[in-house]
Amino acid sequence: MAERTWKDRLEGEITGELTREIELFETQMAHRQTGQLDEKVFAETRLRRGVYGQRYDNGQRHDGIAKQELGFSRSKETKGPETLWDAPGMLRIKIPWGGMTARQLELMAELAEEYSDRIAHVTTRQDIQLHFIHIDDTPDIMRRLASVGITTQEACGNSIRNVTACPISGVCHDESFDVSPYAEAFKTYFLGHPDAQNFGRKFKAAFSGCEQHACGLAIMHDMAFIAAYRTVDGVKQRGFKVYVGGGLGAVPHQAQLYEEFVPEHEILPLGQAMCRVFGRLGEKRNRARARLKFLVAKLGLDEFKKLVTEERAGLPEDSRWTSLLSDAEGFLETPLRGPSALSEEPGSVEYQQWFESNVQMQRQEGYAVVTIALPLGDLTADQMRGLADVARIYTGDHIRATVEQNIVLRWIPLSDLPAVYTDLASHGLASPGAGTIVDITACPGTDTCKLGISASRGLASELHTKLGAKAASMDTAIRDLRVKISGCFNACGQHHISDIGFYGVSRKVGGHNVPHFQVVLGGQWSENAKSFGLAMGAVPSKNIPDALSVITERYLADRQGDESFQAFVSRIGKVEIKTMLKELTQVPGYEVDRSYYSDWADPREYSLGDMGIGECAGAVVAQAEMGLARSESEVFEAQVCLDKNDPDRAAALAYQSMLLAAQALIREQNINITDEPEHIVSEFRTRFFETKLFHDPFAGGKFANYFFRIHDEGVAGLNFHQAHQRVEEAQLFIEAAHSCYARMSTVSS
Amino acid sequence: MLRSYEYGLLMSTAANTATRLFCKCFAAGDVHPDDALYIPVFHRWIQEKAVPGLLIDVADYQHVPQGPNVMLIAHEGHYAMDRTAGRLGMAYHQKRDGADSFERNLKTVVSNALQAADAMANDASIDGALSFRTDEFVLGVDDRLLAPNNADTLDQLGPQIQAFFVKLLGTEAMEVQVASDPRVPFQVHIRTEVTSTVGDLRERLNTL
Repeated sequence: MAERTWKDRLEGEITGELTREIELFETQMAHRQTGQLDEKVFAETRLRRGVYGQRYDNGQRHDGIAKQELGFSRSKETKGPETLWDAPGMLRIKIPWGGMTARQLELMAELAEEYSDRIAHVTTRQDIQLHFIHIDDTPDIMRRLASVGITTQEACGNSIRNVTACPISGVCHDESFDVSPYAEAFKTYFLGHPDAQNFGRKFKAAFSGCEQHACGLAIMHDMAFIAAYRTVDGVKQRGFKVYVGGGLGAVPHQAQLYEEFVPEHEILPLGQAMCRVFGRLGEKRNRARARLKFLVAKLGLDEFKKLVTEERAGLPEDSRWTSLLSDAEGFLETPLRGPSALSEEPGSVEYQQWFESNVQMQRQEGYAVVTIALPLGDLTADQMRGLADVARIYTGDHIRATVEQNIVLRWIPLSDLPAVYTDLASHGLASPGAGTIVDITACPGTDTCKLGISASRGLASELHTKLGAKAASMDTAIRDLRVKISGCFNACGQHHISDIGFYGVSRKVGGHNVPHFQVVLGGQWSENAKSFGLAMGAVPSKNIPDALSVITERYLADRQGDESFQAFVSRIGKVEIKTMLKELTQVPGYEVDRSYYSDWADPREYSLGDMGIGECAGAVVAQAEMGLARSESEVFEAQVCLDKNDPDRAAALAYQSMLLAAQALIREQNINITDEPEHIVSEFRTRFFETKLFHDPFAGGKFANYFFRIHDEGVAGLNFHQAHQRVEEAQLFIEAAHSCYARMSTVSS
Repeated sequence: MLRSYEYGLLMSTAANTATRLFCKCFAAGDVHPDDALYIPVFHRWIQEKAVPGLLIDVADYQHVPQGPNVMLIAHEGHYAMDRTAGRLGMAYHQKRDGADSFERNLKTVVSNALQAADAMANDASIDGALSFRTDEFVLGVDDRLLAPNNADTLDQLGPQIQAFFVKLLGTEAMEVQVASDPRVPFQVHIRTEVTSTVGDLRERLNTL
């Protein structure tokens, strides 16, 4: 009898190691279902295999009228705390350095059709995600992926996540050398490595071929490598400039230069030594401070280096440190077709627009890189097959996902570009505007993410449509700006490193929750994400398209010469920007315009965490709103002081803003609260922290601890960087206060 | 591809056990309402439990050309005001909890697609601007293990599908076209010149 399971069907086609890994997971699934495995343990187990939760997986959903129980038949079985077994989830599929073959892409199409919603989503870490997956299907999916050389192992969880790399490495004009084989070696060495299994949080690594471009985004990584050469005794050596301790998230940190030059054969042992130090000394209990960036900040770079150097000296020799890199220098992709010259025919207007934005000449004469701009990083199963066909015809297996949620094809002979355009267009894959303002990056947000506060994808789609309509006539100064959107402060949409970023927040207006986005300006994408932007104020979600217009039009009107957007933002300052946006921060009353009270592409009345709206909270709301609004003003002033290079004042104002926000909440319970900091902190600790009333459902007491720390440590003598961090923390504390207040309103109703 | 095909030939009766079936019925005419209108309808269906299944959420893929467009995600399967291949229609893709007979699963996916089509066409917010054809359907199987798109699957499932639609549409005069690309899910495109109403088809379906 023929086999009727993928396990039988693929026997012998999957490596023994991956087979065991998948079978282990199946066993753990069975143990969880029989109650033999604790749900918390199982949750981490599945996360380390890329099997992620999704919104509503606690079995509850607010349908716009009321919170409803989703009546899954197995309502008692869980796959993690408050995560029902039957609830659909997301599967994150690691694509190391974004490299894919045509067959792998076809398999993604098959998986999307059979198990998901016929869509694959390219992420900001060059992964591919499938949504609405049932956990029961995941072993089969893993087997099918393994049969084409892909694993989901360590795609999530407290592990080394997908190793990213510049998608044009090897064909870039400005790189030192192709970093792809080094990224591959790093991935291979650390996948399942025992020294990388004891982290308190995730660890992200990236490789970049050069310093000047954005591709590697080195500065926002836990550990990053920038290709470099040095000459010793007349011999040219390959190596890397190494950065450590970067990260976005709620409080972004810029990575620090660890070493100007690390020889290529040292990158794996150096990484291993860092993993050991991070595993040993990194925070384990408080997840909010468990990333490597906090350890580096806590120890100081010099002490961290000293510990890593000592660890490196004691590492037992491993032959793979060099064997995995033995072919790196000779690594060379082979183009399918020979080089050729550009056609002299100009082509259609559409072709010209596409050529201008989506085609880059390679370092190798006669070839180009073509970027397929994917709206919101999504593509259909049919498109994946079509793209695989195009790759097979023109370039072979040289397909790479990008951190901008696009896909690139390398080694396209120049004379083939018109035909490639035509073929891509036949699959709806020839949209122009790659790398421009219409090519918006967005995390899943409230569409599918449990942490989402606002509809990042809905907003991105709206902006894409509006901007796309006028892209052809746009001034290049505007067209070349980057827009990135996150659904919450966790920054999966990388809003910090775009010219114009947005992240989701909520505000209470007249007793109703209103979706908003914080406007973040001045981040720098180039030079490996050189600088991070700062929040300028929250604007109602429905006013963001107008806010974007106001900002870009002002930039176009007032820029001086070739002034960059970052320089422009810095020059006109936050006060002026705040003034520009002031009118757009207003929310019409609930009875006047209800469209403000729902989010993009979601007609349900907006709610946080499936909360309802309390009808009798109005008076209380008004009082609390005043206090919170005051605290926001204070933190804004703190940002202005940073602009004026006055860290002392900025830090003091940040502290004051947190006191005000805390006081506003306390006043809901104790009308006799004074202005004394000790009194506020004491009351806040008793009433909100110890009761966990202030705790974020996912971040726990993280934001409260920011408040306690600034109170305990004081604000005197902070340097600019420290003051900057306190201001960011104050901003987040105030956001948490808003959320807490919204929860209190619901409970009281 | 050859390997999959050869493997499929070994699967003597496997296709009959496949449960991940799908059905799409097409919108009539060339002018249709704005796709954005389907989003609130699907949300309301969740509130009202208007179509079969444990309805969970709405997924908006309007930004992806010729894709699933606007979807209503359910535990057992997904509904979509689908634009695959550039044609608007109501699709239902069964994902789990299928029955143990191919015929029952076939009936379920066609029934769900027709019920959803009927409900969408008659939704007040659509204001009569949408109707569905009853002379054209796509019926397929999203399962490359049990029902790869090859001749063997067609041999096993083709007669059953055709017999089902003969009864449903009340005619033997129909054109049956099979997707040629072996990579795509097995699917047959059924066309007839006999027209009816969605309501009539649903009534007839109840008697099958």
